[in-house]
Amino acid sequence: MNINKTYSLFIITLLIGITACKKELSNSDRFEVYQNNPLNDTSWTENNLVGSNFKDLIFESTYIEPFTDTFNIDSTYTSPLPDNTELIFSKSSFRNAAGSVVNGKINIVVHSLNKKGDLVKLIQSTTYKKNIFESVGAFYIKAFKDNNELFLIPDSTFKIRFNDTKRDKRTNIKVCTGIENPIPQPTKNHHFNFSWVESDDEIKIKKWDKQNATGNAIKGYEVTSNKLNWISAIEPIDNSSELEGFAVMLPPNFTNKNTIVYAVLEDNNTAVQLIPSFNSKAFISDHFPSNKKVTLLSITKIGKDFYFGKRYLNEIDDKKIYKLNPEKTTLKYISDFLDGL
Amino acid sequence: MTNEEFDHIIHVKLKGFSAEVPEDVWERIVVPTIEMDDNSFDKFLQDQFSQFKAPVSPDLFDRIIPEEKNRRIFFMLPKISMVAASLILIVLVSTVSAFLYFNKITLDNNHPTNSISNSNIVTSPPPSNTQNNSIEEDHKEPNDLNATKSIQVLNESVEEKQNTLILKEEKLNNKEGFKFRKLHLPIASQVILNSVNANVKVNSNKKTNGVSGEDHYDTYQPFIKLNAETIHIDNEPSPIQSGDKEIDYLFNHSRNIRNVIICPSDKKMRNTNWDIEAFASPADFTFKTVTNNTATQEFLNRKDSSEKMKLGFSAGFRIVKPITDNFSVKTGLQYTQANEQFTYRTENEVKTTTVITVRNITLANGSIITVSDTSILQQIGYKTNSVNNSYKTIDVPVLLGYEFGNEDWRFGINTGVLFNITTWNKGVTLDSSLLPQSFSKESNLIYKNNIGLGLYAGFSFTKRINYNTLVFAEPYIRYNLSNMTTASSTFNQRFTVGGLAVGLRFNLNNR
Repeated sequence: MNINKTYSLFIITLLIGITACKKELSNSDRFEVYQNNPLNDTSWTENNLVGSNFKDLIFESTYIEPFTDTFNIDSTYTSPLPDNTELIFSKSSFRNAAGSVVNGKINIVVHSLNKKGDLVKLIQSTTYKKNIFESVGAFYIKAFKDNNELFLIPDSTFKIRFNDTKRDKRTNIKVCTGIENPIPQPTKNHHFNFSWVESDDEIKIKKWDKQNATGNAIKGYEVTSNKLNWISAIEPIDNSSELEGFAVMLPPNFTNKNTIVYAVLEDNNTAVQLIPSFNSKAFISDHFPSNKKVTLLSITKIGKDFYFGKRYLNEIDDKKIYKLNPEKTTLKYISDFLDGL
Repeated sequence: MTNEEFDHIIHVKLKGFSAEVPEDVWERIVVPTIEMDDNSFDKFLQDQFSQFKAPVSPDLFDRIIPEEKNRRIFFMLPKISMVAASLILIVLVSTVSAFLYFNKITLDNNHPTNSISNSNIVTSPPPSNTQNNSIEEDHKEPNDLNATKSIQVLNESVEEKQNTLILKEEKLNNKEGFKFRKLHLPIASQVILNSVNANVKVNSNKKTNGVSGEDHYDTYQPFIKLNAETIHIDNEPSPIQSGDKEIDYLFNHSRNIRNVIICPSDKKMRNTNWDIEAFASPADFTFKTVTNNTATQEFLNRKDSSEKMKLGFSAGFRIVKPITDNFSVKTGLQYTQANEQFTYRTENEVKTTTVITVRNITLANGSIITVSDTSILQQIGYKTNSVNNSYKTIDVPVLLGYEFGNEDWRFGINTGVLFNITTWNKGVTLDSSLLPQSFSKESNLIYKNNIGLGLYAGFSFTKRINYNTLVFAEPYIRYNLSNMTTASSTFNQRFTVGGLAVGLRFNLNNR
């Protein structure tokens, strides 16, 4: 075989190889995003307050079934709530919306937010005038007759007694009431969008002692109030600790439209909801005790999927910027985790 | 008549003849190469003429020339006639081609009267004991080759004979589709160049015999080489001894001219060439035909919308055996790959992308902290998957080719059948529940592993690029006779492939 043949055969072989390679197309995938899927919405709402619709969305999922009881208001009644809590109503102390005194059987609905996880589940924050406090006891009380809301008659009061294991260490306990905002509309017949305000002198708190059925001593408080709905006993966090501002960042999918972020103190019954910042695209706490152990939490609901992020900190250090990487999980996992806080 | 006999005739004839030769006559003489694979021609002549003597019609060649012209009429027919003829050829070729290939065309030995013809030469058969081709003639009469040979040369001039030979050479060249050029000649060109402008004179007074063997070899050797390449005369010393260099030149040229004389019977024998074609079709167009078997109409619609044929390719080689000047049989091996793009959509696909975000975070005390964060962005959507399905076949073509044209350009038709050796496919298709289903050579319940026979038709355009090499382009179409799907498949599918094969054809005989 002469050189020309060899050269020609080489060219032919090369041609075949090139054409073959050219035709061996590789598999390819083309991805198109769903336009209206919430996961693809990475924008933040300019309203830095957590949107009411989102609060309802989370609340519907983390909603804690309240304590309910039915009794005859024709006589004084003591309702036995869980955790050694007692609720005492005087005879004929309710009226309807028209002002008429209500008699006979009525229904009461009570939310008890005694644990940090309960505060998170019901999206409450232990902050008052930008100050951090510890919740000693927080309750939400409603009364109904024939599905119509009832109110206390003037000059009438009710009492709630609850346990506090740290009562002997407290020095600055206060009573707050919740001022409900006119919007949004209630979810599951309750308003959870409110701000705590320090109560007036008409709501009083005093120490309460009782021996339970097993003979153990119970130390707590008794609050006497003339208003239903939200009522709580709080104690400000030790102001001697330096307060720091810090921020929490999340990946782009987690915005103030679908995520809430909490900072939960380990040694206090305190759960602080961080405020979303549209400009910073982060969740910020302006003042937080820097010398306390804290757990950062994020709960996200995108579509029907839940995402949960957590991070433990010994204290808020000088970095002041922390990042959470939420992972897709189940609502039960989130609920169990919150119950263990 | 053997070569030596012819040489002797020319030698003897020129011995006593003197003529003026124009200076450009040798330039017009070119020496062809007649390729013979074996000594069958010589043996044939020896066998046939050992006991046979026959006159040759003087106008034999004149009667042959019109035959060639008549054969060309076929391709000068109107187009409709050509189409009809082509169709008939296509129908016949599939059955004839295999027969022709496996039953080698035998030489026509039943017509010895056509084996040698020369209008100017009358030959008598040599005796049966001349198998060594030796010629003893030095001291004998010019017309006595030896005691048993008699060669009579008619009284004609050398110039006339040369012109006749050149004319015949031209005919031969045209038939072989080969343009003789000096640069292409395998013979040492120096011999030819030395022959040009040679003043050929025959001096009858010079001693023309008794020359030593060495002197004879000095001038005769190149032609021994020529003979070895062509008609396989062994390099044995010839008994012819001229000694006169001028005579030798003339003698050599006469032998040179002798080699271009093609007897009518030789025309049938000379196609002993073997060619090989290497080709590739870089862009095959595949046409898919799908018919329903037990599938639903929805399935067929989804299949049609999700599958799209892409360009394929073919490559292979073919051994070409010329039967006559125009007909040839081809066989070889070829690989064909048809490509198909299968597209399907999957929902709720989550795509993760690593992104770097830079944020300026303003804290309560007014301080601004710039943070560069690397995080994962998730997006949900649908994915359009494109999978390249490949359908690969290896086939053995058995084709009958017909070519015509001049030395540089030739056109032809190749038709025949493709015998599938194996087929294997790989890709993704829809199953009966309209879900993507992969198939491969190992797991394939849809397609056959052998698709059987296919018909092939192509039109070739061939251009000679050098002495042994031609380049060709051949638009072709392949029609598969059977479905590529199995009997249990819910649909029937077959491919028809069209493309343009380009390649090179090499002569394997080193002409």
